[in-house]
Amino acid sequence: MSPPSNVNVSIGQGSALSPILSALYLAPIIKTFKKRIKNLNKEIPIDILSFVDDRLLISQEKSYSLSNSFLLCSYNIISKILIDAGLVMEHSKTKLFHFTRARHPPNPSINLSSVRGSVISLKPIWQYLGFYFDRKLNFNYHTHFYATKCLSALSAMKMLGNSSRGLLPIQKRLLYRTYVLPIALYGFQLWFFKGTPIVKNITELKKMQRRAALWITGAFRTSPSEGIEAIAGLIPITLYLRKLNGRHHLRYASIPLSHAINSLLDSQHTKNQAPHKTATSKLTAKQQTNLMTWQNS
Amino acid sequence: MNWVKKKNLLTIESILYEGQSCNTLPDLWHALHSSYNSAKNRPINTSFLNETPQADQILWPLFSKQEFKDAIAKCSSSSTPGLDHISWRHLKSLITNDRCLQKIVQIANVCIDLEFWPSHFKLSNTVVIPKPNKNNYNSPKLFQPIVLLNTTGKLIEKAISNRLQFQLSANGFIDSHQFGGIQQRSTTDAGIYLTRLIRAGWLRQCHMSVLAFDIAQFFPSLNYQFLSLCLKKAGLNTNIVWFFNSYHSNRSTSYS
Repeated sequence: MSPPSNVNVSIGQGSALSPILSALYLAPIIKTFKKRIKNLNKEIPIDILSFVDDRLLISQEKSYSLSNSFLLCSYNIISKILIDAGLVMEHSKTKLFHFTRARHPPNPSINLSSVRGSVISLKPIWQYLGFYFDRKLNFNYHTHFYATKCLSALSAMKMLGNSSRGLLPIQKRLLYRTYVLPIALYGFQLWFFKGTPIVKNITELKKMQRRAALWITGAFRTSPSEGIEAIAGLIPITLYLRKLNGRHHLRYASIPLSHAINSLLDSQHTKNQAPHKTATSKLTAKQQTNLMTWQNS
Repeated sequence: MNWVKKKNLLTIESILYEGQSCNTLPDLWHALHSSYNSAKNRPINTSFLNETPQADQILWPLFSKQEFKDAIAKCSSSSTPGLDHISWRHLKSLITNDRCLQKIVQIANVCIDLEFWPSHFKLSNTVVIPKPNKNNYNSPKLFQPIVLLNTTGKLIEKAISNRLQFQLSANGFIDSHQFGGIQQRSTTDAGIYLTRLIRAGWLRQCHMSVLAFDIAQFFPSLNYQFLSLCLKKAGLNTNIVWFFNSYHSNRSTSYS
């Protein structure tokens, strides 16, 4: 143990006040950024999203070159504000990602050398807040990653006993439902809804659940999945997702007024917030049916 | 079964700091201390704060017992205590006694009233642990500092934090596009917001592009003067701002 030394930085790690004070610190930065974007003579379609020290600039534009230049411009603005606030950006960690539904999309890079950055190389998968985004937003990689993670956890759990001694089936089931399932289903709200191709994702999860049911019951490898799932007392993965999804939708009734999700809902649910330009109320009827994000599937 | 075999430990390399290896303990503490507090004297320019509007005044009534009961209910009994070895388990049983609870509430109220944070709560112990899944561990940045603070102080901090959480999102100072560190805003919400924006953009025949960046050494590099201006902007009373001034000054930590 070292002798005590003075720390005079404002927010210490470990204090319960740190999260809220850091949010407080960032609030004027984001407000100023939004204001400066608005004050530019041409309107730039840029959104900002922030999660503690991870920030995102989102642009929507019909051509890549235009959207890249808008992003570069707003990147310049935000880096200036951050330097004023005494924060330093880690330019080497900056990542660019294009989302598109085109079959053979171009993937133009961006050159950040004007702000001491470098040319960003683009990757097919982008990790953000633990979600693995792919360019077409089908989340195949995401579910594959988490299902594999859970499969390896399940194989490791086989250490907890053999065919004659070890955990009781009821304890195994508890362990699976509390420890494995929440990890496997992390971020399902992003891909589980009507009108999206989810068969691949569901298959991955089904495979994982089958392995868990085999482990819980100790059944033979060739036993039918539905049967052992029923004996193990596990809800089939599609039904379970549907149940969780229903609860997730109910949650939106209780979120506070200032929540960003409110601005995306239709006019009767916005709770006095200015609707976002892509809010449900501003879409045409056809577009609304195409965008089934908020409907129960 | 490959994974049950004995796993060889990594070859140990000494930690390099500014090109020199730290072979003695004082060197090591110095290296760790200066890399976790590298942002001490960075210049700031607060002029852009004038652009943000002043938020509504926040009222600060006295603390109630219930606030402390709520705050302690969420604490994990198994987390490591600070230098005085009073763990959450002890504190939880103490708080069941009404008189003890009354004293703690009094301490919190007096702290705010006198704009003073006792030096006992400022002592901490920083445990340095390696970040998982790295190839080698030869730089202080590959280790994670865990700060262990006094639990009584933390309980009062939690009560203050809960109050600020509620007040600041109620008066609209915190932007709706901030998702971290605020109650009822989760990573899933941020993910949903992003995917929803992308899908809606596609409907309007647009390409969606995202530029992600992060801030180096985020927590240690927050500047106090800037923060106190933010606190004023957020509509907090002057005595709360002074309280935070005392809260942030003269902290000390020891590494182990």
